[in-house]
Amino acid sequence: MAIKKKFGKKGIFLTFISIVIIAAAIIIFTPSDVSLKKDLSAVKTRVSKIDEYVFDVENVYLENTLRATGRRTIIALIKYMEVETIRTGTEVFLTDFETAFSEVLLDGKINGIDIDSYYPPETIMTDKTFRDYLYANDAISIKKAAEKTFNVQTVFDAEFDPDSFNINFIGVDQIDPWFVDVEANVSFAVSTVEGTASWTRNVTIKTQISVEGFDDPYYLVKTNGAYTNKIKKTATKFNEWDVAKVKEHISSGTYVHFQDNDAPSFLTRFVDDVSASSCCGIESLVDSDNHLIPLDKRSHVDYLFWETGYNCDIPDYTLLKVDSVHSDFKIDVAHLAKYKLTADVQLCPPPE
Amino acid sequence: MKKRLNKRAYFFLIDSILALGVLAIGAFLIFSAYVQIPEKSSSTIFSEDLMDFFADNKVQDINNIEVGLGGTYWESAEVITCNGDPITLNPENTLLQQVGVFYRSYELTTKLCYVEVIARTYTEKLIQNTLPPQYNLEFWMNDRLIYPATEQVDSKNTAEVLIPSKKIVHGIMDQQTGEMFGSYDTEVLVWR
Repeated sequence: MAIKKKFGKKGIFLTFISIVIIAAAIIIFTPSDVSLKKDLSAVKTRVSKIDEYVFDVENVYLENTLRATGRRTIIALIKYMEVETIRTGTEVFLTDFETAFSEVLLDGKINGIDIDSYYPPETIMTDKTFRDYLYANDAISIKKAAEKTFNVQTVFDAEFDPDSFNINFIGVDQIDPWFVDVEANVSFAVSTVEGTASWTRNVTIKTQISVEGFDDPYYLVKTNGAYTNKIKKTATKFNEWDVAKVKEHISSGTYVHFQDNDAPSFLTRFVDDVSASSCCGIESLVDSDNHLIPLDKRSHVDYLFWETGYNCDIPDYTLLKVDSVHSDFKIDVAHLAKYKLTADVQLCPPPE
Repeated sequence: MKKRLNKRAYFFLIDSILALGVLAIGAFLIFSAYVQIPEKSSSTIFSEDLMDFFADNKVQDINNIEVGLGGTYWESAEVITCNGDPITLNPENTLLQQVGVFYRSYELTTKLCYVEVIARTYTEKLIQNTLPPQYNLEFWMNDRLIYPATEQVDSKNTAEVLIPSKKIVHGIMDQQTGEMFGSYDTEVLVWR
């Protein structure tokens, strides 16, 4: 009997202990703050959204903006050269294309002066520079849009100073006759305003700007703004040239790139450098029907037409007349072969 | 001996009842938790999917007889009244960028029909039948309601879960002049 009582007491005691242990385990392992889980999920979603934004800036936005503002920069530079040539009465070429391009692209200025002030009332770069689209306190900038949409701060600076804006490098080059390659190295940082996450990136963006559709600055400057020729690639292949194709080439003002060419590239036309660009030289033929230009004894190939080193005053320079193209059409012997033409008269040196 | 056995049976009976109770409560908690989860995740999925649909698909990828590339809507009287001419879409734009182009046209001309007629119809035709009827949605760009015509304030206030999905839209408006549009903040709200 005594043994039975002892066991019963132990059972109740053990049951009580086990209930206490289970209760303690439940209390300990039950999440004390249920909302923590929700908060973590919210932070995860937020970080993932901002990560998408950073990816978009790095891979799409910077490239699109560089291409669009690069195009506007070239339009502004051509306009500047045209109006300054007309205003001053002297040929205004750029001394260094890359420097001028960088300054206009970033700040809308040339030699420290607002480029749009040269051709009022037209505005090409005002509020539309690379800086404006990235950093301005304006609704158009990605910085402002990101602040509003994702509540994040975006800084474009190598030191990630929120009060600075710097682009590490801007380069312009040509390796293709019909495209300008623009490259920029940009450091940027994105951070949430509450400080939960931050991203830093250093990216090199490359983009190509088609030269087609731009006015040829060389024509504008050499003719004091009288002759505008838009760059357009000819559809004629190197072995298809004949009189009809040449006539069409002149009337439509198209440009050609010959494999073995001596022509300047689109970019060197900004700096009055007509030396041969083997990769990227392009040339057109000056229209004999354009009465705004004097028709001396010069080859009608554009970069030879306005240069003093290529005319009948130079000993042994050969210039030929091709009446089948136009009664005033003249061309040098090298281009006569390239365009597959037949000369009617040799203007210089006088035929023996 | 007989008494001891009776007591044990009684004890086991209570024990099994308690165990069943614990199981029932556990099952109830588990299943009630599962019932709530899909409601929230569906709204999230719909809102994210709709935004991704607009952001990831190009105009040329959409096969829609009315608002696809060369669709009938772009030559309709409604479009010509607003735009002056039929509209030619840029096939390389994403759907979201195309809405951005309409928004930019509104900014440049201040003609509200670009957003309230053209962008709205475009959005409406694209999202037609994509959401189950019990779900509601709103499409906003730069704090302007694109779709539907009026903000559904009461419906949103009574919503159990309202999930927004946001993106910034930008792009090149004119390849020749380098004219850009954006950056616009865009939001899709889905709730039930």
